[in-house]
Amino acid sequence: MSARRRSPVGAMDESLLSAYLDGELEARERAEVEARLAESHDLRAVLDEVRGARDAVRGLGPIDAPDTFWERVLRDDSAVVDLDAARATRRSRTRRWSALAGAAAAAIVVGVAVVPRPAQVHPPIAALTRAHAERASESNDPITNLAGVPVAEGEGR
Amino acid sequence: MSAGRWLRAALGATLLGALLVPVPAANAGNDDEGEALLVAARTATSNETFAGVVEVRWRDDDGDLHVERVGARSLNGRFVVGVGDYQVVGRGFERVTTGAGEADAHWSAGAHHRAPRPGAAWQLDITGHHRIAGRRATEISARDAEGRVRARFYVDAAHDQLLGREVLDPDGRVARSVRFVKIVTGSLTPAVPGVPSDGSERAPRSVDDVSGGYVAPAVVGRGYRLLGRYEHDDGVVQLYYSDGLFSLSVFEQPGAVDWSALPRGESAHIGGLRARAFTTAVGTVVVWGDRDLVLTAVGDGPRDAVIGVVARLSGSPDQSDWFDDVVDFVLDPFSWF
Repeated sequence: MSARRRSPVGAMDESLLSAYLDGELEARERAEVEARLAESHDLRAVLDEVRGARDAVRGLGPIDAPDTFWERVLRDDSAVVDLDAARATRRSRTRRWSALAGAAAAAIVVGVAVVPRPAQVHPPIAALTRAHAERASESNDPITNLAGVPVAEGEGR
Repeated sequence: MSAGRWLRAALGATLLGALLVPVPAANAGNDDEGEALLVAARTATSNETFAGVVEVRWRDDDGDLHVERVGARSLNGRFVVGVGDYQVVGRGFERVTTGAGEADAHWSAGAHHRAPRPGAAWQLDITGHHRIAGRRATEISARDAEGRVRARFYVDAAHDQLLGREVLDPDGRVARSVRFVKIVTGSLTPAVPGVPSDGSERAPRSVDDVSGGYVAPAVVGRGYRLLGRYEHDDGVVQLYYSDGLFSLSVFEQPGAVDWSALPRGESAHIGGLRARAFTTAVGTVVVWGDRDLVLTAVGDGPRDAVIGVVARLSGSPDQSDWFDDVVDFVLDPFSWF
């Protein structure tokens, strides 16, 4: 197998994709992941890898635990997995990613609002046509060049 | 070879030669004369004393015909054109417009570069005689490089005064015209106001160069040469071009186009830039935005010539798309014919 694929833009970690496959995400989180998947080929490839690993694990047949396994579990608290804590960690990562995405969006909005844009200009058409006709009338017949000026000015009023 | 074969060969050679040797146009002899008449007509008005009525006709972008009339008078080198309290008074290089808002508008460029001759980009032929406002007038037709008549001028046969001009669309129909419908000359003393002496302070300032960021090529379109650069009171830069027969100004000002404030006109994209064109009594106006500049072109020549100049003022890396866009833009407005 090739070297492990780098996480695509935004560092969406595999635990989030795994949660997505497990149907554990809230509606808003699921929508965000799907939006990212729709626009990123790399992310879809990572999803396929996660799904493949998940299916491979699930495809393994059941195995019997060693004779002493359950006795050791009952004696050693550290071997007990706290499922609630694990889910909380996963959600915390999701929230962190969402916060980063939100901050990036806010930065874009602020940037658009703050960066100066050119002022809207309404070209004074009547004045400009007059300026052209006056200049043109200096080196051409003045009457036929200027006759349209009062008319255009009247139209522009 | 028999005598008959020699005769046929000689006849064939003669016919072939007749086909290959360029034949001068039938009216080529009029070319210089037509151009000389137009040159004389440019200054004739200043030397004549007259009073008359001038009719301006043009079609707007919806195809509606507009007809307006203004008065025109000239005396001792001064002239006035106007209607009601709106008048343009002129003397020499000075122009003063009254009734244009709160303040009078003044113009006195005073800087003139050498303009191309009228026939530099056009073939000018005398093509007939007509009566304009009761006077015998010589018709001069201007043909473009494709041989199409794109303008006609009417010059008073007795006084060399320009009595009218017509600008034609590519199909030969009159798109805009200005002509006298009445004119009286001779022993009369028409009322012509004087030119105010305090106008020079508010006149556009001729400048040798425009600051960085502005677009000012020396030649654009089919022979439109840059003849002057001016700065107006409000900071607008004006570039004045002429091909010898028609002229065009490009006005540049910083900012972005407020499209909502413009006449509806014809909208298009030229080289990826949004543009809008519309027709006024003065000529064709094209507004577009490019690199934080608002550009407005005003041209008194054929509409497609004005558009052609616009196309060359705003850069596009893809020339083929560029000219395709220009062709679309030129042809679209004529759909109403």
